[in-house]
Amino acid sequence: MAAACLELENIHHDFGGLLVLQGVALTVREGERHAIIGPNGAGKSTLFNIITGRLAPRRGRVVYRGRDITGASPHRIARQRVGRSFQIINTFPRLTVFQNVRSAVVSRRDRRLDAWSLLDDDAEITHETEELLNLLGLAERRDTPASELSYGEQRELEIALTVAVQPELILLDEPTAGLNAEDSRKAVALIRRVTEGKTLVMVEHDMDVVFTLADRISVIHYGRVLASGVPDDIRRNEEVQRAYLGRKVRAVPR
Amino acid sequence: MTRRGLVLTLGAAVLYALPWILDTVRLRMAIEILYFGLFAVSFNLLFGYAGLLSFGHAATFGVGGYTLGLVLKHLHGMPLLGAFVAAAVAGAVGGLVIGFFCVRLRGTYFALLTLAFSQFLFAVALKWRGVTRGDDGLSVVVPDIRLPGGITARMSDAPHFYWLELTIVLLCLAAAWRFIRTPLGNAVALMRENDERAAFLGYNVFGTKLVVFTFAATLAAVAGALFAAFQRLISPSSLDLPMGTEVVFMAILGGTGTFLGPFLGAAVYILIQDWLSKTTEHWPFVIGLLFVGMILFAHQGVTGLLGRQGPLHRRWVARRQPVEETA
Repeated sequence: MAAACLELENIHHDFGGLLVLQGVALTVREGERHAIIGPNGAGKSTLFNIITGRLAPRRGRVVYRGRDITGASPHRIARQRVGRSFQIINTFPRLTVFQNVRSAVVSRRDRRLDAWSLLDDDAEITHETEELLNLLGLAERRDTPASELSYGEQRELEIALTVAVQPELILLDEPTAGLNAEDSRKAVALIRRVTEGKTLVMVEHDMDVVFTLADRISVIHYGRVLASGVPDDIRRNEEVQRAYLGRKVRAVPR
Repeated sequence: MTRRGLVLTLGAAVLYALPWILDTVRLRMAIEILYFGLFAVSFNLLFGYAGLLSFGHAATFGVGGYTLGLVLKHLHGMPLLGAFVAAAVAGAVGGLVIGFFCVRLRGTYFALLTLAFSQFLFAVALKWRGVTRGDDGLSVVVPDIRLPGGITARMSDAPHFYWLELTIVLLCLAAAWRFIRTPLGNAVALMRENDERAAFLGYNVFGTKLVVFTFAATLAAVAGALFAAFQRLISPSSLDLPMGTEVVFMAILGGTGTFLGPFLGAAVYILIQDWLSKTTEHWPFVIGLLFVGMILFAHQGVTGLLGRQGPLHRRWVARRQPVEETA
């Protein structure tokens, strides 16, 4: 069994007394694609925010590759090669696609504090950015401001920003939300490509996407992990069916 | 030489030649435009580039002015350029301290805390009479500069002062222009666009904002020092709210979407103010109306109106071109 990449221990969180997470424990192994599913309000996004430092949990520990990162600030966690995307489109709206991705490349190269060289003249950064745009199919939209992209393209840019920092652990929050069937298929192919050899944790509502992509699935319900296992086990788990998957999946032959 | 290089060289040549072109009254206005222009550009590093609206940008403008005045008064034999460096350093320290508290806040709270700091310094300048002379203001004695070759730049001479000031302002503008084109300058623009996303890409939001706040404060202090050296006086009004809001108006008048827009805004503001104050004693009322009009109908400022996307450009320039082609 591969080593643990991310371990969540007994995570508790509440918003003004409303208990959102009540002792989440979860292990994500190196190199696996792990999907987190659960009904709306189950605490999935809160969990993401706790892993990536946007929120500090009330109780519990977040351990990434053996290091305790509980409550560390987002930029420190990001610098340890943890990249995340957002449920709501979250890019740099008035910058072009190129400038968006380039900003991520600058960070990956640890050139954030460079106050001397001219960014436009940096051939290496420009080259790396353009390669990424080609890889992600955004080259044609290179000089378009992010806010003027179509919704599907903005989703692609969102993923591009996330992977441009070359994360070892990638967290995607509903990467196919709001996409039509075709764009969703494209997004799945893209995710498969860019997460090759990396560890992926994603929150997703689309069960087709989940069962196509995930090596393991965890179901969160009322702030607890209801079940965690390979897709077939999750499909068969009666508790999960009752709580979340519903009739549609119950029809799957056992 | 590239076309841009040519334009810059010609522009600089014209600027250096102004003392031979303008009479003394107008040259004094040019001197005012230069330091207010630098002040407005430094304000816009915060507002236009980092997305931080400060109502207290006068704080370090005044700190620069008082530092220059106090250094020249108490340190005998201090050359003028040394006093300017001291003013810049004081502005940087002031920016670092004020920024340390302010940049962790956003929006309205940021604006209010910067305002509070400038009002605090205003009160200090007003009440600490032993050092600042309070209301009367501190008179500034400006020494001449001895240049190599036995030449003396006489600071009481408007052209000499103008040349010194122009050199300092151009150096500061060049530094700011270059800064925003570096990776760190790019990070500053990310703060305006979406600081949270920047954090998740590994950017330190607090650190980046503190850097640009300190840099802008330093430039504002240099502008304030030039102001004090030219006026031969620095008083608490240099730290007060009207000074802090005037610079906001200058920047918006010129256009905060471009680097030099605020500089242009400072020029237009001073020219309008000069013209209006000769025409009517109610000139602040007219300036106020103008501000309301700009915010309502042209919040991209003069550069926005004239720029490639602007309505005036479309009406005058873009429409003329097809006619020329058919002619």
